[in-house]
Amino acid sequence: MSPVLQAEGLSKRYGRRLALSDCTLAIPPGRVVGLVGPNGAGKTTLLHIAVGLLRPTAGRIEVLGGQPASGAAQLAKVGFVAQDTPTYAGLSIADHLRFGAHTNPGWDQQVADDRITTLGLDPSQKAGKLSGGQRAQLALTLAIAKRPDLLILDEPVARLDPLARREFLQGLMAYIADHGAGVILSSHLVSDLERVCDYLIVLVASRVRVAGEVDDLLAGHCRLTGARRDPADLPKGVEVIEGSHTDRQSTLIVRSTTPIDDPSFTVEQITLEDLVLAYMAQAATGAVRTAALETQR
Amino acid sequence: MIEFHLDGRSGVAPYMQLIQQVRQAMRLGLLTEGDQLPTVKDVVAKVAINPNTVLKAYRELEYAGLVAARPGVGTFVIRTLTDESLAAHGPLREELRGWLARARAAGLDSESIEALFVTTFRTPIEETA
Amino acid sequence: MIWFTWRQFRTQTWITIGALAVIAVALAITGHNLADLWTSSGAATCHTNCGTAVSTFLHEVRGGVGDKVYNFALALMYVVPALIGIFWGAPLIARELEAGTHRLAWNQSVTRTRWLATKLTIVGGASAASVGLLSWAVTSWAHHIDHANANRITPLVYGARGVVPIGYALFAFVVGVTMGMLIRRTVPAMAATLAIYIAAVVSMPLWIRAHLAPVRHTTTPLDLSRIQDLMIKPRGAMEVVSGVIPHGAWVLTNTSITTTGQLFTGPANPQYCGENQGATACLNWVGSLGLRQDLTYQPASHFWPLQFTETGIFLAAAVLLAGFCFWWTRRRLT
Repeated sequence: MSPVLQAEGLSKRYGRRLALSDCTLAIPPGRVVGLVGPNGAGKTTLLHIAVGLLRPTAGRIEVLGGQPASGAAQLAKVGFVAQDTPTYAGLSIADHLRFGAHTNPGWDQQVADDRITTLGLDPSQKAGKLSGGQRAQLALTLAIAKRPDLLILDEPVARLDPLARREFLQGLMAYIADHGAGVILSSHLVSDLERVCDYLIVLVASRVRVAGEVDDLLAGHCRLTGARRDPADLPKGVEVIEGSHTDRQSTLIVRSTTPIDDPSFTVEQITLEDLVLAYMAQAATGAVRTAALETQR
Repeated sequence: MIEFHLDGRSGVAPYMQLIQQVRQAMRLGLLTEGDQLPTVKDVVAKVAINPNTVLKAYRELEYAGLVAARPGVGTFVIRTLTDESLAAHGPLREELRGWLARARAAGLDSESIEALFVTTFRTPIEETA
Repeated sequence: MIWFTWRQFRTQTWITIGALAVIAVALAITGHNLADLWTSSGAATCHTNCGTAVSTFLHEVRGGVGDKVYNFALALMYVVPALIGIFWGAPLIARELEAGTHRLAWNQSVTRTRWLATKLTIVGGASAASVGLLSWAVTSWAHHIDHANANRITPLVYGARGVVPIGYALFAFVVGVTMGMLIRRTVPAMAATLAIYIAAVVSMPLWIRAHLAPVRHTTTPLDLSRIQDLMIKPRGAMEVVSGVIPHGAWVLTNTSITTTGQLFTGPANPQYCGENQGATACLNWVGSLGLRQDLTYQPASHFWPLQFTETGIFLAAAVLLAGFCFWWTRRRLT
């Protein structure tokens, strides 16, 4: 099955600053994809390129087999909710829906009306008077009602209180259960995404650090605890992502292609949060090492 | 119709938790033969998890012979667990008492017995179904 | 997209209609008075030697409310295109970029090109229509006054009549859209639009308009009975300007030249133009020099050719800028 999003060597440069560097991805269809990384890592840049709001400075990207924003048909296939869920403050909810109906041939008014009713929103209410959670739901309704094959959401729950957050995800999951669209959600908190994602991309400091099915990632990574050890001593096929050492003990987060049989280590499962933190730490030490090398020169 | 809930801290995979909750409900008589499980959409609309997780759990339950999916209609329970398990409780308890006695005789203390039990207990569901 | 453009433009539409209605009523009422004055002064019925009737008419007009309306309408025709550029043009793209709503609008199933095309066409069309109506109303209203003053082609009145206001308005509108797109902030874009509009509307009559139609050049013997200016400056320099001007023309240069074709600058003959002699003596002496009036001008008949050419220039500029906007939004706007 062809990937919903395929990127090769994707880069975006702003003057001297590199927002995205050399990203290569192949996201399979039908997944709920979590794009995780700290603020400033490049998540919004990547998503904006995927929906055609930005042009990359290098590399290729293909979304649902087409170039982003290359025409009305391509735009109809991808639904997008931007960060801070922009809406027209002076227009009512009904106006927004009418806007969607007039500009999207694939618009399903029934879906939109049902959602608004279920959410208990008043269609004549101006969008500027809605709460953050309600605006997010409105933005999601607009994206969903045009029946896209792929939904892209940029930090949709970051500013929402826990109740609004849960309701948002409930609505989103219910939609996917019915229509089988793919979803790409970004967040700087893994906890937001853990329950819903089955595919994870970790983006730190403009690079993709790891990407894969959540089940595979959790099976392929573990925590090793044992006597103090030099990471280079580990068997082949075991890659250390993050390690911390005391004078007696080593704790390593590793990625391994084969199960680890070494009895001198205690092998433990890690959570998704541990995994993301490990890759973020790896990126940080990589940056420190590069900086140290540069000062040495 | 039962409702699901997820414990994010239990360390048990979400789909496993769903399976356990179905079995628990069946054991307590909340679900009997012919009852319909909630649709995937209903589950995720309440619990905000990936629909694939629910599908996976329902599939596992189907392999275990506890439920059957009827396309276009829903997923239905095809067995009852209550009387079976009740009937099996007695003999099982006796066996367990014997096992515990043997474990103590071999020199295991309470913590070791618990550790042995827990690690063995947590093996995947395919082996115990 | 058409509905949505109207929805976003709704308030401006109502304001414009209201303002146009008020202006129309004011013009209608005072226009009626003007027509009465035109007949009562005798200017309507006279065919030859209408000088007295016309001056009576103008005198009556200046004494009443018609004068205020005339000046107001004059200012209005210059201000309205600027307002269109500032309030209709500058926010068109800038407001979307500022509020971030472009991330919503540009994800619907319309390409940016179609989005921009719809907005430009509808709001641009509304600009042209409203200014066209206004200009038609003002030009008709001022018809008699312009005829009496015979100054329709002179710079100040010219820009407030006929079709050039439409050109100004569309130009200002597209300049506004472009500034908003480049600067990405509404208020600075408004300021830039105003600056460019003023620069364009001032430069046109100063440097360009005079060349848009063939300039007429005449040299005629100086008519001593119709001298407009006879000046004796310090150190005996002189300046003589004839008052003979074709009716309704726009004078570009009006000087007196000597028999050899040079500009006449004196020096004043102290025998005839000293402090003790009367003005007549100096005048007669000037007459004996054989001076000629050197006049370059645009005749009244060039009014409409100049109007169409100038409007064409502004429209062409607007079209070029619009093309640039399409290119920029499609390829460069990030």
